[in-house]
Amino acid sequence: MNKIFPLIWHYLAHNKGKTLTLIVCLTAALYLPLTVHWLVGLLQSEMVRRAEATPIVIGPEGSRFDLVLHALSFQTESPGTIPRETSRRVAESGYATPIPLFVRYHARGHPIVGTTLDYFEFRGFRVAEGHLPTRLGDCVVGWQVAQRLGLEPGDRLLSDPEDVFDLGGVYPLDMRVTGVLERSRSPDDRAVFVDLNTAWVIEGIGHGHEDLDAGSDPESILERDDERIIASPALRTHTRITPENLDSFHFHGDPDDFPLTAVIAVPNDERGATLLLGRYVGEDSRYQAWRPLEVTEELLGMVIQLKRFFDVHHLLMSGVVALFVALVMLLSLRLRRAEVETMFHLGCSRGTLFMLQAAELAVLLLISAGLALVAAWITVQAARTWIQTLTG
Amino acid sequence: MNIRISRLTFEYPHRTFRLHIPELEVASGSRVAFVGPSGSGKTTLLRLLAGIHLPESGSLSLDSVELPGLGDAARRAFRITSIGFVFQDFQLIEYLNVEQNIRLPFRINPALNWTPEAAERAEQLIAATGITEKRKRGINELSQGESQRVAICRALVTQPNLVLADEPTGNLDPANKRKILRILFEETEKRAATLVMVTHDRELLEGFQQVIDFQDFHAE
Repeated sequence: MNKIFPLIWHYLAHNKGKTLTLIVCLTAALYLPLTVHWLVGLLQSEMVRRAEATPIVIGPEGSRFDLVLHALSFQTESPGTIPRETSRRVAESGYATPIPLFVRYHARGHPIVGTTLDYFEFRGFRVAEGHLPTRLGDCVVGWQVAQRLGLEPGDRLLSDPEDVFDLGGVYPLDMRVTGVLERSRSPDDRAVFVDLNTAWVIEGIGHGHEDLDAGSDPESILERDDERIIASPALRTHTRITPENLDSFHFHGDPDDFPLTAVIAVPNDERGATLLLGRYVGEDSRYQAWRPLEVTEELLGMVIQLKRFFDVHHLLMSGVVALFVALVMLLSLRLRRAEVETMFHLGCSRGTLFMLQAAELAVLLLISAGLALVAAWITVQAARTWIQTLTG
Repeated sequence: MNIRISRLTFEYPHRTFRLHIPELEVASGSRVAFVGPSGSGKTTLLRLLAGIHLPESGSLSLDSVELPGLGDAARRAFRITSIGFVFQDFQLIEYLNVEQNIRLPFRINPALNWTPEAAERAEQLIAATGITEKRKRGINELSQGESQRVAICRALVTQPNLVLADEPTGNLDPANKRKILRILFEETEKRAATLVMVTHDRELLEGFQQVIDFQDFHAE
C-alpha cells in the first residue's frame, strides 16, 4: 500500500480539476447531513437542559408550546396574560414557590423580563459587574446584551416604543443599568431584567407625573374641585425615574389584577408538583400548567420528524452523489485504459490495479470526510452560542 | 535467457491475421532482430514472449519455463522479474515525471524492492541515456526521443534477463538511433541478457547475432 500511495497522490495532484470537483461533491454530501445531525443534537440537548431546569410553568390558556417557549426563552409571545393573583395563590398553596414573569416589551430588540429577585436566585445568576436592581427603573442586562449594546453599570437603556405613531400609547422608559450578568449560555444572556413594578410602569399601569396639587402648570389641569383633580392630556409624565421623582410614581388598580405573562412554579417536592398540576387540570380552563420538559419533548418529537425528512433527503442526495462519483470513476477508468494496460503489461496484478482505484477513492473520501468534519464542527461551534441563547 | 518456440500458432479474435512459427531458437545472451513488413507478427511475437498474449497452440519456453503453462499470476510474476519491455508507443504514465516513470515497476510490483542498488542503477541509466537534466520533467514536456530513452531506462532498471524492444529507434534521428542501440547492447551485454528487438531499419542489423525475417513465417 505504501508503494502505490505516491502514485495515487501524483495522479490526484496532476488531475486537480477532477480531484477538486470530486472532493467538493463528496464534502457537500457529507457536510450537510453531519451538520444537521449535530445541530439537531445540540438543539435537543440545549432545549432539554433549559426545560429540565424549569419545573412547572403556569400561564393563560392557549398554545402550550407558546407558553413554555415564552417562559423558557422569552422568544415567543405568551398566549395572553394572567392576573398576579395566580402567583399569590401558588405561594399560598404551599406546594411551590412562584416566580412571576411579565415579558411584553423590548429594549433595543432585547426582551425586558419583569420578575422578582427569586428568578435570579432560581437561575443561579451571578453579577459580573455592578449589582442587581435596587429601585424602580433599574435594570440588569444579560451578557450578550451588554456585549452587543456596549452597556455597563451606570449607562441608560430606553425601552422600545410599542407604536411610534400612537402618541397616546405607552411611553418608553429610560432605565438605569445597574449591573451586567455573567454569561450563562442561555436565553437569559439576551434579556434585560427589571423588577415587576418597573415592567408594569412600562406597561402604563404605574406612572409618575408632576404634582397636580402644587398646580405648577395650569394647562395640566382639566378640572379641579374640592374632592378631585382631573388632569389634562398635557400633563407631563416622567419617562425617567430619578431619586427626585421616585415618590411621584404610583400604581392604579388592584395589584392582584396586574398582569403576568407566566409564572414559573418551583415545587417543594414531587407531591407538591403533582398536586399543583392537578389544580389546573380541567378545573380552571382560563389557566394551564405544564412541566416544560414534557412539552419540550413533544416539540422535539416534531423536530425529529422534520429531521427524518431531511435524513431521507440527504440519503437521496448522497445516493445521487455516489452515482455521480461512480460515473466519474468509471469514465476516468475508460480514459485511463492506456495507463491500466501499461501497468498490466509491466506486471501489475489485477489486485494491485483494483487497490489503486479503491485507494484513490478512499483518499478522496478521507479528505472529503475530514473537510466535512471540520466544516461541520466550525458551523456547529458558530451556531452553538446562537442556539444556546435562543433555546438553552 | 534462451528462447525455444515450437509449432506456435496465434490469432487475434475477430481478425484474419494468424501467426504460425514452426521452430525458433534463440540462445541465451544473444541479440536477435525481428524484421519484416508491418502486420507480419513481430510485435505479436514480442507480446507472446512477454506472456501478455497466450499462444493458441504449440510450445514457448523461456529458460525451460513453459510460459503458456503458467497461470496468470505466475506468468505476471515471471514477467516482472525476468522481462523488460520497451513498447513501441513508450507507454509512459502521463502524471509521473521521468524519475517516477523509471521507478514505476518497483511501485506496482510487490516482488521488486527499491533498494539503494536499484536507485544507483536508475541513476546510471539516466546518465547513460542522457536525460539527467530532464529527470524532474513531466512526460508531456519530453521529445519523442527522450520519451523513448525513459522507456528504455524503465525496461532495464529491473535488470531483466530478457529485453524485448519494439522498434525502440523508430522515432529517432540516426545519431540517437546509434546511441540507443549502444545503450541496449551495453546494458544487455553487462548482464548476459538476451535482447530481442523489432526493427524496420536494416542499417541497424549489424550488431545482431541473429536476424529473423517474419516473411519466413506463415502469417496470413
